[in-house]
Amino acid sequence: MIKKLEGQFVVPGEKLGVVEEFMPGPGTVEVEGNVYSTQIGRASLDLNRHIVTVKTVAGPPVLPVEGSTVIGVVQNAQEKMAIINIIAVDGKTLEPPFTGMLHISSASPKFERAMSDVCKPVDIIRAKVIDDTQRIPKLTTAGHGLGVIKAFCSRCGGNLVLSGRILRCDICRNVERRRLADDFGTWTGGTN
Amino acid sequence: MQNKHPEKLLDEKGLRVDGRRLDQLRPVRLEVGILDKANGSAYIEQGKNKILAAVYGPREAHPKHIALPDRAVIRCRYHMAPFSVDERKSPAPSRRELELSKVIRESLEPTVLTDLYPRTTIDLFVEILQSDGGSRCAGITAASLALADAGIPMRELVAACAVGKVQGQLALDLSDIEDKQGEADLPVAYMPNSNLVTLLQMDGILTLPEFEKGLNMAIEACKTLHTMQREALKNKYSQIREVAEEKEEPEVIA
Repeated sequence: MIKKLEGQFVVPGEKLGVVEEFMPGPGTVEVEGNVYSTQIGRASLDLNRHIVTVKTVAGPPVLPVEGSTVIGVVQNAQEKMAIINIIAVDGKTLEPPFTGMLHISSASPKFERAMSDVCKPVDIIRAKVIDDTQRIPKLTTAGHGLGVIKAFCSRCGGNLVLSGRILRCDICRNVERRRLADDFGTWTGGTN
Repeated sequence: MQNKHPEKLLDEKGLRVDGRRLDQLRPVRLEVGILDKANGSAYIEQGKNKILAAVYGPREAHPKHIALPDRAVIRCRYHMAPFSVDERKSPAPSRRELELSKVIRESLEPTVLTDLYPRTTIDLFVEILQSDGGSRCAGITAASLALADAGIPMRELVAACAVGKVQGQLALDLSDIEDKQGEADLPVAYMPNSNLVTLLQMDGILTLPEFEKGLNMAIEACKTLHTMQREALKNKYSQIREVAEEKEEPEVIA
């Protein structure tokens, strides 16, 4: 029975066993002592921990959850908070985008006076989700590798380029401030 | 060409207008994952019915106030294309379409594990490209496949089929003529593994024994459709697996 189940193609609702044999893992659900598949995929057994899982081929859907790293476009930056359109989660594209919120208290490891020193509209940021229990996921850019990864001039829309420690527009030479990620300027449009 | 207003819906041999037996389903063709932009999609041909189902989500709820704090909201839109019936149908949502959107949503809600995706919506679109009776049932069968194709966790696949009464006899999977000229219609949506009925409507008059017999006929048909659904998923995903395995094979350097 066990050998037969390993690697077997399953669809939602297919019985995988009973809880006395295997505990339900990802892609499964327990109903009245029986374990059923909830996804399309291949059944997989962990014989040491006695857990049955379904390795999905169709999903599961990607959503920003606590701990996930996201790429977002700043939609609106007010004095103390910014609204972010999350376009990718953990390397996977979100279509349409999800809305997130970045508060100034979690925008940088050091004190920031205003959000305009952290990011401005149209900037692309890499952030981490710190709370997904509220209506809008809360983000932070206070961490390694987090912050603005591509910035645009608020005066002319040109690219901001880091020259030394100064962030300068390559068209109008305007100097601006941002909370930059360690790899600022290397982002080429991917989902990471 | 089939007579649109036949005098009799059953001939002397007990066969129906389209030549089927009373307990026979129309030919069914199911395909999964046919729309690129949708998260999950399915297509069903049941007799002359041609129906597309598409699933988008779970995604952010818009407008925000419809979001629920503990689970995802399922929204469904059943729509008949203007060219889906003999006389042009207005593309605006009719009372019937709104009702069917509601019953399709309610028949699928018990199977989707919505509590895994709080504050989001799952949008389900059922588009009738060609209609020939029993489109709500065929729509449910296709929508269930589209949900599974989108990777949305489900308790089970849902299959649906209708039973009706034609010239005093119970007939499975009514076509449009039988639906309009028949005496009763009993659409049933069913989850075979958990033995749960998620949709049960009745139009017309059936006696209690007829109702019981009709329900059993519909349930048996749903079980057959469920096997077809499973096969459709298997066909699509076994192909994907084969392609993936071919890619994984290491290159041999001579």
